Amino acid sequence: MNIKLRAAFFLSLASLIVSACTIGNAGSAEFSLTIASEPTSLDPSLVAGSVDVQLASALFEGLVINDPKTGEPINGLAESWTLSPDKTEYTFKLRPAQWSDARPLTANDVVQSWLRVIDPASDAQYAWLPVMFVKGAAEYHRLRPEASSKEALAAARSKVAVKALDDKTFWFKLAKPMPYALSALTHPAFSVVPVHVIEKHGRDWTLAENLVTAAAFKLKEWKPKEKIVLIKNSNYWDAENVKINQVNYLLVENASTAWNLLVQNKVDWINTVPFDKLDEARSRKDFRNSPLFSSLFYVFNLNDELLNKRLLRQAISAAIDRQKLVDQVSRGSYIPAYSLVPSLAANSGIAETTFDLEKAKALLAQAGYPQGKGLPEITLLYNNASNHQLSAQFVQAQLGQIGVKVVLKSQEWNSFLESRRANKFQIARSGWIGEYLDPFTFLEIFQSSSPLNVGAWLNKEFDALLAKSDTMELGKERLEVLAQAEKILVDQEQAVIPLYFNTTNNMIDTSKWGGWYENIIDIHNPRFFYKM
Amino acid sequence: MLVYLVRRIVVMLASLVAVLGLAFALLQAAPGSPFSGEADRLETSRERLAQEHFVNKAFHVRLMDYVSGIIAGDWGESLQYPQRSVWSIISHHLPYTLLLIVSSLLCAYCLGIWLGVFFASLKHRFFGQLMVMWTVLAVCIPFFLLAPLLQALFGVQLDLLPVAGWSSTRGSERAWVLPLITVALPLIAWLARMSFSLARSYLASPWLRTGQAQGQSSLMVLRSQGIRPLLATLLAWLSPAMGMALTACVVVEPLYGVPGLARYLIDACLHRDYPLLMGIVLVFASLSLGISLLADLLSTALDPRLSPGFRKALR
Repeated sequence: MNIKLRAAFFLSLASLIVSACTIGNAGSAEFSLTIASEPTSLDPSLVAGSVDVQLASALFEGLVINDPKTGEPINGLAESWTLSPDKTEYTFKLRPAQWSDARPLTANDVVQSWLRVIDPASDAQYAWLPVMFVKGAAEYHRLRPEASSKEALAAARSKVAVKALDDKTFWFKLAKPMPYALSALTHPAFSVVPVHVIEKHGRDWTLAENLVTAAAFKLKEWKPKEKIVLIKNSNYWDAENVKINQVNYLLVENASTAWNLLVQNKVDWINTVPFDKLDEARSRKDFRNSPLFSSLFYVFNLNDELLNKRLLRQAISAAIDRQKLVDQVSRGSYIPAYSLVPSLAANSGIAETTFDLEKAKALLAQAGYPQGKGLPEITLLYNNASNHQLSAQFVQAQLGQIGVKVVLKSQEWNSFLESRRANKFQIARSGWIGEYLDPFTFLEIFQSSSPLNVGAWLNKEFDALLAKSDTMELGKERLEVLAQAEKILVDQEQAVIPLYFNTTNNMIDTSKWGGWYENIIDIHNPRFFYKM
Repeated sequence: MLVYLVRRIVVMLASLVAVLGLAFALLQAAPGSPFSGEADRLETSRERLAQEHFVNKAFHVRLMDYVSGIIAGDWGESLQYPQRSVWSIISHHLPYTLLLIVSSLLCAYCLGIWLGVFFASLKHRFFGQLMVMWTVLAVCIPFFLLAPLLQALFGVQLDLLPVAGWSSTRGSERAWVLPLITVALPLIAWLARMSFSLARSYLASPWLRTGQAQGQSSLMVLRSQGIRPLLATLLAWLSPAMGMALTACVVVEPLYGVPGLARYLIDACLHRDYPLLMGIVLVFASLSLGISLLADLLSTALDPRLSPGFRKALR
């Protein structure tokens, strides 16, 4: 063998060994998943969609975080907390934690992070959350930064009831007693952000070279429309219990493509299953179908002369077979709903009205339209997603059975939101995802004062019951009060037609990956994942 | 020639302004605002954002603002991605789309023309019918069907090529093969069909008869004398072909996870991201106008009869 050949042989052998080693390392604790859209931003105060929330929960931590199994609030950056006897003041003791740049995390960081979201100049979509909870926040956020004097802004800012009592103690006051406040604090809008870095880099603070976090992961790279790579933050307070070294979020908009990647074993977890693969998915052992804390319903416009008639609304609701609806629309994945609030472990739901064609016919006759005679056409407004289209067509057919003629009107998302907000509809599709784990999150949008109350539902009794529930302690009695309010809204007055509760279809092999649990908020923080 | 060039460029700029104005007007007509996000409940912040981004200003004021901004090199800020400027989005993603378009056009012109010429040289009627059949098929299959089929075949079944991702998955150098095939296939079919009919008509025309009479095969005659006029004619279709490739990219990029710019087009429309959408329209419109000019110049070089000077002399 000549020298050149021999050298080539050894070189190739060496490269083979090296490549074998790297393969061995890469496989150890790297986790890949697909996300369906580009995150708006990695700034937790700017979260808008579910992808943003997923990333924000991995990159940032708040005082409390979601329990991976139940979604209930558990200790995050706060070691412990106390609530004052009047149920309005929270005092949090912070852990000895530090930022990924080794700077210690202080109570002042929490204060500044919260104020940053409440700031009237902030672009935070979820600013309303802290504004709703923190005393003085609404008055501050309401100011027009360009129209108010500096003194007025500073004065309002100083009146926001958040304070650092010392380096490790954070205090804030609720606007009024709100028993579900702690659960709301898990939302990314309440994350603690590195104010010192934001001051230095401004808008560019979320770039990989600048971003500093106090959570389990930090940003390695973000290639827009391609992938986001997070790596373990060794300065995290609980770093020894973080078993994943690298998380790859691959941006795959198309559900079939995501499915193919999973089948090819290129990703470990996908969170949607394409409609045509549902049957195949169900036969696989990595299929996880679980209920979500979310509800889909139709809203009546009560300003409409026709739909102002309660009996007509009740007839319409009674004529829709929800079981058949979910079978057709989701191949049985969703849960049929006759109440607005999905059942939690604590509340069992109200569900008294059910599908009853005869009753629907009788109600319609009572309303003055026997067999639909003399009843004008009713328009149903929905946004042009395929599942909403299917639902609307189904409802149209069902109502046809009792003689109610429905015209379908489909609009693209932004136009749809605008029409609904402007009260330009008769019946509109609607839906809600709970923002904290309490029935209140579904009911509060129907308060007379809520901007989300698009159907103009005004009921003093309902408002009073909600107000009453806020003064009560968490527990059975309070849930009964809320259920009573829900009964007025759904059963008695039928201001909404509950249709179904969403479920989520995840594909992840839990015999290979531990720490991933089905939970109703569908937030799965890779901080808890580990390889079996 | 110079006068011709100058005139073309002036017309190009005028059409560009027209395109911008039209796009702007259409956007204006669409209901809904970029700040109508469902999560946002506070009326005050929505109003403030609208004011900041001049959504409330009069149409002509906004158009003028925009055009003067572009001239000054300021493409504006994306509304959907609050931390990114329009220029940073365009400059990062445009190369991927360009690569896809250019490579598929190259593929289409090389393969399509040769396929057409080859089938035309086989004089039997059967080949003509075969040609029609497969080109119709290739043009008709929608991308959203073709893409999953190719993925399932080459990705999942044969495990030869990555299903998606540019740099995200292992072996990603080969990731552009499937998107390229998907974009190029209908174009190849389209060009093959056109060059087929052209080549057949050439073979029947007097200027190719000598070669054939000398005993050269149809293919040889076409190769030596037919290609130049064929190419000159087909190059006139370069601009519409690019348009086709671009529309294909809009659908194909998200299907394969190609991080191209075309993907943002629909996104920006749906989110009423005016600055981003206008930026993309501007880029693609200038690209298409530029290509059409290039195509005309190339055709002229290949076939002097098409040059403005020649046409003038004829008159």
